Amino acid sequence: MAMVTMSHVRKAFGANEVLKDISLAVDPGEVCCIIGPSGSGKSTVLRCINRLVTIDGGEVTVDGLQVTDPKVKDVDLRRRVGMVFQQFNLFPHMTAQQNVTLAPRKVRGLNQKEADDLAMRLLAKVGLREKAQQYPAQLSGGQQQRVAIARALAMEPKVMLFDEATSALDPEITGEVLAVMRDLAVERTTMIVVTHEMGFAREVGTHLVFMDGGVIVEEGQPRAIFEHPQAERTKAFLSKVL
Amino acid sequence: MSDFWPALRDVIVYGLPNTIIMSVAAMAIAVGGGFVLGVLRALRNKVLDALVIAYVEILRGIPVLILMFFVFFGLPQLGFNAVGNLQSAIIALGLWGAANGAEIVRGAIFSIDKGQTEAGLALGLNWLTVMTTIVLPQASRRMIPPFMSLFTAVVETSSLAALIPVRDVLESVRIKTESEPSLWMPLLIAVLFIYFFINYPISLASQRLEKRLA
Amino acid sequence: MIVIVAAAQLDFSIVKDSLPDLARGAMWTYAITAMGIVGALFVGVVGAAMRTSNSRIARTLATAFAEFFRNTPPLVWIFFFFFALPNAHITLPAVAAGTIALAFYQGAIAIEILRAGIEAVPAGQREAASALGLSPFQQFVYVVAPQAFRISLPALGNNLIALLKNTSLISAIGIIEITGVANDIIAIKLSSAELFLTLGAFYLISVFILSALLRFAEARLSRYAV
Repeated sequence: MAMVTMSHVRKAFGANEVLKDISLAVDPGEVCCIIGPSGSGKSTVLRCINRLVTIDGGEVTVDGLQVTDPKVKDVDLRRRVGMVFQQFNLFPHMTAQQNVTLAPRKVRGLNQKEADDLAMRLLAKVGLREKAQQYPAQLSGGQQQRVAIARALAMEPKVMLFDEATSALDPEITGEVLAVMRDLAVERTTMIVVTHEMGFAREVGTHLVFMDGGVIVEEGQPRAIFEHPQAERTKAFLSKVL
Repeated sequence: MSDFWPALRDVIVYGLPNTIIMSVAAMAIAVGGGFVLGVLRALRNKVLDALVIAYVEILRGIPVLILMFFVFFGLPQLGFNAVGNLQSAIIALGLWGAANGAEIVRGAIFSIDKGQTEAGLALGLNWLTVMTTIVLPQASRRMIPPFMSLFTAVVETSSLAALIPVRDVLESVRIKTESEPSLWMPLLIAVLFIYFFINYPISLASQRLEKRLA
Repeated sequence: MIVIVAAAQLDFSIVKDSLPDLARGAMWTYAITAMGIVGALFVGVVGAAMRTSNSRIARTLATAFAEFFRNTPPLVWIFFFFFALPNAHITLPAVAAGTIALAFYQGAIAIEILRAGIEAVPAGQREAASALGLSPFQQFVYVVAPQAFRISLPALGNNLIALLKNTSLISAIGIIEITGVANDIIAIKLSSAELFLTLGAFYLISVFILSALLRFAEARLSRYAV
């Protein structure tokens, strides 16, 4: 059974039809990479999955739950889906550790000790154990993003969404974040990654989706698409970025 | 309650003119004085700066009520001729308003990009010409919303004059209720609305202007 | 020159004799300020939360309250709570009437300040908190409000300083805080310049102390500013 399915999803913001007819299935353990030009609707696709955006038409399911069903509560959905943002969005008034423990304590109901243990484990996992008491302002961009990944993982989600996680980072720093993402992939975490990092998509991705103008133009095995793109738009996009 | 409407009429007829006179006169002093003081700070002369800052900090650091009482009661004791109630109120309000005005003018002048002054000076214009033809015209637009807010503050603060007393709307209410205490509630509510109807439109216009200037 | 001539006519023994009463008045000034600050912050936080909530009713109520109190003089409100409420069979002692009036007035101003602060918190913060599963209430309490507060601190500080100065208006309804005490002494002793200068000094020093405290608070909260 697929972990995430989208069928015939439509979304418009005002007069702008951002998603025209999106159908997608992501299996457990897959690393689904979504690539495409700016404005193609990639980020919106992610936000439809955890209901940060409500769709106009079609269906979305996550781990068997119908996202469009009003009886499915936001919190049930978001405990299963973790999200990492382009702008990190760490809470500046909390230390790294507090950033990670907030949701487990308030949403999952862990007590302080359990939450702290979990946070330290996850911070160690992303290589930032010594930075636990630092505030975001004291951390570099790459470090902040790694804390953000730990924060999302603290909810023990079934799916991790990455929205251009490295686009706001200096080129030399993207490596440390991509390394963490690679580790997650090796551990068979289900990931949906919107990215411009073609190297990552090619090496780590197991399912590639190319979007343009609100539709999925081509999808399949990353290596196959990179080496033998079928559609004209895919060829045009890849020739510009590779 | 049949006393209410005649009482309200008296409040408005005898009280409102003084409220308006005080507010407008004090505002004139505030804008004029504020301009002078603000421009003085733009000269970046250390001594003048210190003097203006001292004035502003003192006048904004004490309650306006104290200032009013000082002008009305205290000055005669120091050898200055007694000034009338209304004049005392206007002077005190004006001095306080000028202190706030100085901050508004200074803020607006300093918010103009330094490059403007540099360009003017580089063209050979002297400082005064640069100020009057380049900086002040641009700064003046930015001063309008804060000065509008200052006006609503002056209107509100003018109600303190009732304590001197000056026969403004508030004092008129007090006079009316001396013989008829049951009039406090209706008359005060009416006065609240009078102030509201003066200030709220100005406040709205100021907010709208600020958005357009941004 | 005028200042020297003027100063020579001053006799500060009046102030010295009245020191116990003035000190008592000063304590009341600080007490009313403290209570007023607590009240104003409460009104401000609740009002700002209502102002930025999803409920049209809450937003309208909070906006109407804030706009009405903001655009009307605090002195009139003090008179209202003290003189007008008895018409409705609610009689408040002067301290209560004055403190409540000031709490509402400065609180209304605080609503606007905090609203601007809340809106200045980047939208990404709410997104991230939402994505983690926090409820709208939890998002507000743990993520938005702390940041909004830090952003609002300078303007809020000015508001609280204004509250300190506005306590002098309570002298209109009773002899409690320092201005009221001073006025009472002047009415008896008929000499006033010295007392007003003393009052002025008191307020200037108090405002200075309060400003310093606020700057300290600002610095402490901003150590992690991004």
